[in-house]
Amino acid sequence: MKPNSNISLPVSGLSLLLGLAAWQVLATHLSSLLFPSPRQVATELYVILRQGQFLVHAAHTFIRIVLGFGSALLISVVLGLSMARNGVAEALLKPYVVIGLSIPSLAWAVIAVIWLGISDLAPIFTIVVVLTPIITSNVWEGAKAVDCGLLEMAAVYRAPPLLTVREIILPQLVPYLVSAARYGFSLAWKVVVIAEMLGVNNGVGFAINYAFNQFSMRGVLAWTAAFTALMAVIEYLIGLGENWLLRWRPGSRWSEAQQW
Amino acid sequence: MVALELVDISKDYHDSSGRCVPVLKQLSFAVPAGAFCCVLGPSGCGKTTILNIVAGLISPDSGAVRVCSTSNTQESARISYVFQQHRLLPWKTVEGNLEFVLRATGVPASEWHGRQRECLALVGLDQVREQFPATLSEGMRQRVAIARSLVVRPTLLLMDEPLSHLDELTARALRHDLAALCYTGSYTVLFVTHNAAEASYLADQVVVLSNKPTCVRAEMRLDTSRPRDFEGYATLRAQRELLRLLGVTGGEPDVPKNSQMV
Repeated sequence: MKPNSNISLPVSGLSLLLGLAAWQVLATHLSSLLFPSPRQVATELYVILRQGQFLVHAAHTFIRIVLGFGSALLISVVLGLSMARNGVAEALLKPYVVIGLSIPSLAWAVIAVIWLGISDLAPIFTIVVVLTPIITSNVWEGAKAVDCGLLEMAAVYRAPPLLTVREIILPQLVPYLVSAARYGFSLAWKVVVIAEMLGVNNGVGFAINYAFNQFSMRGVLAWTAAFTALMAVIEYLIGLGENWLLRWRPGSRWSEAQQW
Repeated sequence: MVALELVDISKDYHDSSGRCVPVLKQLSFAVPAGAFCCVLGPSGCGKTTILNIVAGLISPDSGAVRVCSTSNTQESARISYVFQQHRLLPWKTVEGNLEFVLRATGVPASEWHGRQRECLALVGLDQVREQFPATLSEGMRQRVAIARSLVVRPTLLLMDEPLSHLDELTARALRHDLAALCYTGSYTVLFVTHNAAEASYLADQVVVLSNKPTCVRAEMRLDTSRPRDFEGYATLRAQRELLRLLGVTGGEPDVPKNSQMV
């Protein structure tokens, strides 16, 4: 951990307070229709939380993220490993990974709605096609970096292939998977909101779009704030999981305590 | 009884331009059961290639390797390998690393705990069973690697310059423990080194290799009593003889026996 971590929390907190104050100052000088004050947004937030709308829409969105993200992860591990192990697979898939990385997610969201119509499948499909190239390229890089020395060690002791994959190859992919998962997850909830705006009649994206159609800036901001806060909590939990998975690394929080 | 026999082993490599480079040429030697055999040769002469062939990691172009099981002919020979670098799994604890090879070699789970304890005690590391390799010193990691090689009760123990990456003081301590461990004759060891002093201290038998293409230049038996003294007269004399066999002559003044250190 960095030596200045003791002051980083209070400073960050202070910075947030200053941001809120600046927002308040701006809001008092601008039309509240266009630029509602923090207090007005907080009131709106209270309403959507109180009436249970947030929970319903966020649950829909969250399930889509989990399904899309989970499918993308599975597909990517298979594709990435094949690309690292097999030159033909690498040559076949590499152009699609490169193209996939540069297609805008909005384009995918529109395509998904045209193809799949107004259904749950459209946002899930969007997440899968946006995330798969990103996670695949991470797994591919990771699998290329697998330590041959450890594989030789396993070969000397005649380790069965499944044991080798589970105990030697997968643990080496974990850091790549975790960084891909963190990035992929943060992208997934940005993508899903766009897809929901276009293609379904529930979820946070739908709710934001609904507020937009009512020309309720408070609604737009309240929904955005609530969902952002939820995702920040989830990302924090993922971070804890990451630390635990990589606890064997030198300097990790778990190993520091028992450094020799 | 012979534990390991190499007969007319030849191996070529192809360099980046596709040219054929002969590495081993009709290399033959045998190691009796329970012996500590050092393979001594200049850098880059293919010592590691020999170990990799014996371990079955690569196959020779021609020739045969015979590894005989000492105890039971039905049980296939079990080979362990200590590499130059420890090659521990960093995401597994010390005990977890031992467990990996126990599982890989199909040792029944009921025996794991006892064997782990026994082997970690042998290398003096019963205190760190729950720790990850990253928290250990380099010397301790190499000790864990040695414990990992012993825990499967190998019929043949291969070691590829396991001390060459350690600082001299650590290497010295580990070399001493290794000599004590193997002196009992429970293991047949094939130990690769470029260090004549190390060979003269550890070995019962030294196979001296030539430059590439590599064959056996000489074999020497070392019958000096144990425990040996690393700086003892007998060890130094053996070392000098090994250097002569390696073809390293001249450049070193002949120190008279009674000379004083200045």
